[in-house]
Amino acid sequence: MTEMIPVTEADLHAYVDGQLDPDRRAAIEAHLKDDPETAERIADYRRQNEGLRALFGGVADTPVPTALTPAAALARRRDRRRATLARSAAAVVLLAIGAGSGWLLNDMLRIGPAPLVASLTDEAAAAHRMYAAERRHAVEVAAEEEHLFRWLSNRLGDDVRAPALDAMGFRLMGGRLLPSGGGPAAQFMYQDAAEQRLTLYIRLDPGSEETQFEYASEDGTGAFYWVEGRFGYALVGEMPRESLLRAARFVYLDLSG
Amino acid sequence: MADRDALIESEIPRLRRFARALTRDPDWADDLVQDCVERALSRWSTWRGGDSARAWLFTILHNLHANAVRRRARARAIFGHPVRPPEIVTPPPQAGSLSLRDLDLALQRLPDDQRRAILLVGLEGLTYAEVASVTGVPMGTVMSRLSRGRERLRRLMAEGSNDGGPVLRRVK
Repeated sequence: MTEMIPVTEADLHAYVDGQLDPDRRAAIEAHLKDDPETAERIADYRRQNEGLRALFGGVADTPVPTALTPAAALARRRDRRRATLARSAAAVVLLAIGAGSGWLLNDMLRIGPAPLVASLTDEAAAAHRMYAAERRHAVEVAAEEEHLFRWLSNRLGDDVRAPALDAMGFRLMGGRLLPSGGGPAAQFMYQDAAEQRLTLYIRLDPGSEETQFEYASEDGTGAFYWVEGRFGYALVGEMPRESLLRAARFVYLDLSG
Repeated sequence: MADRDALIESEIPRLRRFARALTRDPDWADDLVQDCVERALSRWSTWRGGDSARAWLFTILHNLHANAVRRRARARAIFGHPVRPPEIVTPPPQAGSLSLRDLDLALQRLPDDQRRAILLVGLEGLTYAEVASVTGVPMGTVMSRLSRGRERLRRLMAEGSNDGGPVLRRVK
């Protein structure tokens, strides 16, 4: 006969989960015989475990998609390394553009493991400063041209669009293609009645962490940026954070929909 | 290296099962597993072997899920309303018996930490010590999550079987 030790809640769970040694198990069984209410509760817990295995057990028996295997992960890593090399060459060019704006320093001082996202703001801000100041050549292709989205989608290799922001008083002027690291990026420009401009910068960002939503600002220019699916997005404008947030929220919801 | 890859690969079916049960979203679940495998490869040298490889991989997956949930909550906080509301997935009627449906729905209504503890123990068969290590909390916390979670499941399922299901569809 086992020594009588008080039965704890932890014992009962360990009994359900088969994590007790045989002596202790026998003691719990004896205890449950005299306590039908607890015995019923324990039987329910057991049924929960059985139910979980019935619900989800099948997932472990289905074939594993190739993309999830270590071999596929290693291949992706090799591809990313190549892309990073190309990107760092292009970064030299960006340094020249970004240094003038003071934006780059801001990002360099930021501590954190998200260099791809950080440089998304560099690129977007540099592009904004470059083209939002343009009067006659603000866009490469006007919004009225029907090939605008098709062209940029083709170049970025995926469906690219710019949400209508008319409800917020901003009209889409058009867009342009820009170099970004190892590949292409798109910039869309909006303008309101007061000729205030807003740009939406979109570039391929494969392999980045999933959706993030961050804010950065420098000298009155603010940017909300995030990564969603294969793309990195940045909405840039010279306006108060709250106004920019309203627009960014609109864009975010439209594009994730 | 071949040993490493084979060891990781042998755990993938379990990782997928846990991720699926945790998220109820096949795409999100496989994304988490894919990230988990990438991380395991790049951090292989940090695995000291104190834990089993299984517990170590589950730790990575657990943290990825916890971070993703935090990020979504943060996006919600910024936007002031849910960008992607946490959806309660209603299982198709033909998916198992009524009580399995009830269990499925009740499980989705548990707080994340209780659901993780219950799944790691009840579905994955990890020891309590392994669950403590995977979730980064003391054993006592694991036991109390398990205890509260199981009791809550029991109560939710009792409610559910009283009247068809509308109760279970109520999102808090």
